[in-house]
Amino acid sequence: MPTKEQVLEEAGKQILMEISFRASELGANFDAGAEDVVRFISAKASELSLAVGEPGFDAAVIAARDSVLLKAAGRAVVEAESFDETLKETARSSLSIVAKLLPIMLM
Amino acid sequence: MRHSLLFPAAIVITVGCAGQSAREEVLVPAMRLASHGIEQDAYAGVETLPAEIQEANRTIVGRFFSIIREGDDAGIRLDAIGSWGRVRELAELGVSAKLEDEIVGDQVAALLLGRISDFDKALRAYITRSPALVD
Repeated sequence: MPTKEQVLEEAGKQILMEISFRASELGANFDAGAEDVVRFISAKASELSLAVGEPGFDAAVIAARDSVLLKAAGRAVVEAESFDETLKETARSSLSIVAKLLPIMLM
Repeated sequence: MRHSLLFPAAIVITVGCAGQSAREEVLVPAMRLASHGIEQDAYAGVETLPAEIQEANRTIVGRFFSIIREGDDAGIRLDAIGSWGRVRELAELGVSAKLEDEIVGDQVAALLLGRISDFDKALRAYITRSPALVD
């Protein structure tokens, strides 16, 4: 009979393996060092440790995995939007320079 | 001269692409994966309803998850969003029923409910920029 710690460790390994696999499969740039995602994984691992021995534990492991993936994917969207914002700023600056230069260039 | 004008124009065209790509290529597949468990919860919720309204609710659940799995942008924005509130209620009802029937324990139920809440955030992030995801 595995101990609670062994079950948790195994579940944690499975989740991290699943995340890495899914992230690469989805083409996501999953940054394992991303602080908020790591915090989230840690919180889910704690919740899982409380669920050890309860009926439906397997479903809880899958639910934790899904939650972490949704969180990591949400972060990817936020980062991509932040990139878009930077690009938008660059576009604004470039256009304003072109707008200033245009009358000179057309002279 | 022509090239110097093309550069900012190209930037303008690409603005917004990264966010949408992340939605379609990362968020939707993550939602698709999570949808299986939530769908089970939602159908469990349907089972708790009076018999005469079960079929209508089953149809709502089936249609919702079919759209999510197809990952159709218009379907998610125009159709799935409208029915998510009901699907969420049913999924939460399903988790309560599983807890009551002792199919799952308290902490397992909390994780199942957490997944529903995280799916909700993901769906909101899909349709709009969501600061809630940065918490």
